Amino acid sequence: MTIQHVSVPVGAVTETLSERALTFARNPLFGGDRHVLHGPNPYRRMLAPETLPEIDFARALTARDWATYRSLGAHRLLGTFYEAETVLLPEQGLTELRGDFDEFYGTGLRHLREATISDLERFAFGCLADEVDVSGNCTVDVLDAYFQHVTDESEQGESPALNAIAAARRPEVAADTYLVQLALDGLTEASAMSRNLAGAYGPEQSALFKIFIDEFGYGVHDTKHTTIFAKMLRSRAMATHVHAYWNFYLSGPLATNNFYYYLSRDHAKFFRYAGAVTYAEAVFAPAFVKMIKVYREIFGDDVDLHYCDEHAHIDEHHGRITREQVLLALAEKHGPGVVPELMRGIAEARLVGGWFEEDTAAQIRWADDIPRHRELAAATRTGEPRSVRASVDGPFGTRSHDGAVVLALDAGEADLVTSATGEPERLVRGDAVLIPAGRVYGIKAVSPECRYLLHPVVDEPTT
Amino acid sequence: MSRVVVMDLRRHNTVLVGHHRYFVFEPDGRPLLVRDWCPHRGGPLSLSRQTPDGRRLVCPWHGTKVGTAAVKRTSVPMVRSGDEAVVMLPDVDADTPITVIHKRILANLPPEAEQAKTVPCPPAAAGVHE
Amino acid sequence: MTITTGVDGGPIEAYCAQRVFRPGPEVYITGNPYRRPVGSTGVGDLDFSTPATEAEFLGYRQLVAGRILCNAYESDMILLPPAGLATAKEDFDLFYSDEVRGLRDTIRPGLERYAFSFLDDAVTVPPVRTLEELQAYFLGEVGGAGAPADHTGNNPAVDTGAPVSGTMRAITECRHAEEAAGMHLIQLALDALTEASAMARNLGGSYGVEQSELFKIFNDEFGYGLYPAKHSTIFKGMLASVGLRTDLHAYWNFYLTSSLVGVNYFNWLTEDHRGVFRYMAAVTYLEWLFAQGFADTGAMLRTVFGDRVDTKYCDEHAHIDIHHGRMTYENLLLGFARAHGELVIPELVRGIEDTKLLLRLGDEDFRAQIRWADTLEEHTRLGASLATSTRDDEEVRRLRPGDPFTTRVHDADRVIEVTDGEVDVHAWATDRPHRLGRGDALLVPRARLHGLTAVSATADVAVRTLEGNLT
Repeated sequence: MTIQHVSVPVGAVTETLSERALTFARNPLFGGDRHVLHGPNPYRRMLAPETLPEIDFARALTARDWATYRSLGAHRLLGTFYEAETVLLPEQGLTELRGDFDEFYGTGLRHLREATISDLERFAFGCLADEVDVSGNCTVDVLDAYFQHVTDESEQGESPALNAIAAARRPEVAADTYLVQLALDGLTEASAMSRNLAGAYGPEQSALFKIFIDEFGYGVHDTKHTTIFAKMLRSRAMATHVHAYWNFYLSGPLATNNFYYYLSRDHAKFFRYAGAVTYAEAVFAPAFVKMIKVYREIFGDDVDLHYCDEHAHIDEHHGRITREQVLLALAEKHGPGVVPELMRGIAEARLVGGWFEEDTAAQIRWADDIPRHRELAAATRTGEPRSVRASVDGPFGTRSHDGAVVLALDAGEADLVTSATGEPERLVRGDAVLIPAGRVYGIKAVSPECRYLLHPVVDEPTT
Repeated sequence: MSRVVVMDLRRHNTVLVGHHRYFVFEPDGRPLLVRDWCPHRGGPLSLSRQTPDGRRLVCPWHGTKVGTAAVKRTSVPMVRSGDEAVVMLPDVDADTPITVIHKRILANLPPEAEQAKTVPCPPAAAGVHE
Repeated sequence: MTITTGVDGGPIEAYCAQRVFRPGPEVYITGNPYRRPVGSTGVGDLDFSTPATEAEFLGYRQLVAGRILCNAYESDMILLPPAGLATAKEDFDLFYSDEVRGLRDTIRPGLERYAFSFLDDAVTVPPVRTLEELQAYFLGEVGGAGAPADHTGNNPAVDTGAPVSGTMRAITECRHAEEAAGMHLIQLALDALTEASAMARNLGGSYGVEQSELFKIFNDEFGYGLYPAKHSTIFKGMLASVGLRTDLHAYWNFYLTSSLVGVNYFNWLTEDHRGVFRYMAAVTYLEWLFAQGFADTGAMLRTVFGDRVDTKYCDEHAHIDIHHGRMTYENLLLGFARAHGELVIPELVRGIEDTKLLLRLGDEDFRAQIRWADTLEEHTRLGASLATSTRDDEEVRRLRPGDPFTTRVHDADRVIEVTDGEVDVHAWATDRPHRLGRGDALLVPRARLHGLTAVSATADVAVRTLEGNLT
């Protein structure tokens, strides 16, 4: 590391968020390569820079926009920003990737990140302020009653994503799609939490650290949650490096993951973080119990669910302790001024967690039912199309659209990729498929060149 | 007053009692429920490995060696009948949370079974498709 | 909440002008971890564009840069007053506000360049290339620093009965040994009250076995999640036992330049992840030296304070850092070299060489401070005798009780003369500051930290630069 002379990026600050985002995404690290999965290089991740100009960054996301390309593009960027503040080193050693390491953590990108992140956060999460209100005289008792209510509700409630897996024609692929979404956090687990360990805030700091100890497997690498998460992936013959499945992370799960970083980057939001993490710890346990049930039905003993077992049980125990020693203890000590913040954190975590579930469920249902979406394409009224070219050696990326589109292959042959482990759908000239709003897909050219048309849907048939 | 906990030894090997952990330790092939707590710094003895002579456990935190006999002496009252174990936890308040779980236990592995460090799965072998 | 913006003169001035970074009347700052004054009026005008050299290491600008960077780094940590936030909520909001953090991000790179660039010139990295050479180099270095390996070859040797020497001995030999020992504890407090916070920045992410190994060290620092066992908690016990305040940065005004730079160095390496290899080596070197170092600190404290001092913190480190010395050496220093190859070995070596230099400079700064603070009477006599050898650059100040208090250093030897009234000189934390009456003149050698408070309703002081150099 050398200290470079750095002038204050006055220019960067005066540019618009769109321009800064685009400058960042155009860095060679983020242009993707021809592979569908990312190789073992944690610094490279496809940000699809050529599609970012479609996003109007001047108009912030609303709480209903979680499954839009605006959301997907923004949260990919934001997730990359956040991870550049953690230590990522490749399993195989740094030797071959030193240049990428220096670029990823280097001054140029860092300045862009710092000049952009607050605006990007406002774009992505500003909607939470509109969507969640906490009012009235909120006491510690009120906080606890609300917390108990929402965690009970979660325990008794259904998981749309797990239901979609259970109902899928190809449940294995659907189950893998869910694992991919979990991998986003699972392979760097507790990284957001680690940002809340530094400082000095008394016994509550120690209580939060107790959860962290478990996430880190007591320092025994073989029992670290990321290690046992990788074992689960391996038992499904899936890749285990950060972030092999980058192209398949959905906007809802990305938003959920980013949400915890968002509350951890700016410590003015610490009390919201404390509420959110306590809620998350409490609802993990029943969620993993449900997940174990679904996965055992699909795979029998052919999947390693140690990770889920660990969470199902330990989180139940921790859930109770966290509630008392973090949530309620902070409320008691720092007074009624912080109680609404703690409650807001809980409510936001619940809301954002819903995006994870709904988005994953919708993707599973769509990717499981492409033949019917071929039929629907024919019955859909569409508007003026735009044409997109893909070449067999060009970079592979995935995306979604804010509204439904009909994708029609115009020249050549291509694979429609909708899941990380399922067989892609071969499209030949004349084939068309309906892509509902928010569904993530990639086009992998099979012939040396191919061309497809994207027709905006004017009048979507009921799916 | 003792709290009674029933474990199914086929499914459970760890008991969380408030902030304390106990794990099923089988030094002679017979299960004992012992404290998962290294006397040096409270390290997780359940994740320790046996020394080659099998007489001590090596704590994963600081490498402290703890005699198996000393670990056995921390065992709590338990009656095993087949796969069921009834544990009587002494002096535990009625409102202390107790959870029975399954965790990975390394202390019961034979010393000669020291595995090589987990080798990361190379992506080529992990179902990468293009 | 008032955010001060729109100040002419640039972002450093705007940052320093924030309420929480401006001095208040108190010498010791309690109950509010957000108040940490950078300096008196005009600090924002200092020019940081040319990096400090090693010769300027203890200069005023390094002190100011050190304070600003400390504030910058710590606004990435969660700080809450132990008695609850109710009385400090406004300052909490300001300290963590988007605007203040935005200013921070703007000024931080330039200040880092100012503060740390001298290391590039001052440190020569020895040619260590292979893992074997790294092992030999490390063991040679720690041996040379008086902390050889024990018979196993992998643990730092600790002799808890060793007679105190070096700086610890210098403390015991001070006339005001309790103040000198307190000053040492205060320097430790800068880091110890938020202990392992820099390390926490290296817990996130994904980097394999070494990540778990670093966590094990962190786990000890954090007392396994048990608040009474957390190192910062037992450090507070030590402070309290000798009557020192335990609030975070209560002694903000008494952190020496070198202490700030040293602690900031670790924050810098963890905040910019390109520094990860330097950090891992630096932490290895420190952990290894701490084992004997804290045994010596404990012995010093017992000599000075007798049985009343609670040295559990020192005893803990003297014990656990034997483990940490071994664990960091085997699993971090050598672990990173094994995992990432010879490519990173020069950076690992660099981390150790940087740390060696910072420790030496820190030791010199501290020794000079206690030597001076312990002999203010002599320096007052000297000041009187030198009063005629000063330049004609008199700065005159009028002080009143309750004026904003701040400490500073000068870049040249100066004589402070009280021309009217009475002032107290604060050169370390004490209930008995050195009093100067009308006509008294105190010699303040360059780089010595001091602050003045008025005792009389008004007091006038004249500060002049000494002609030529002392020594």
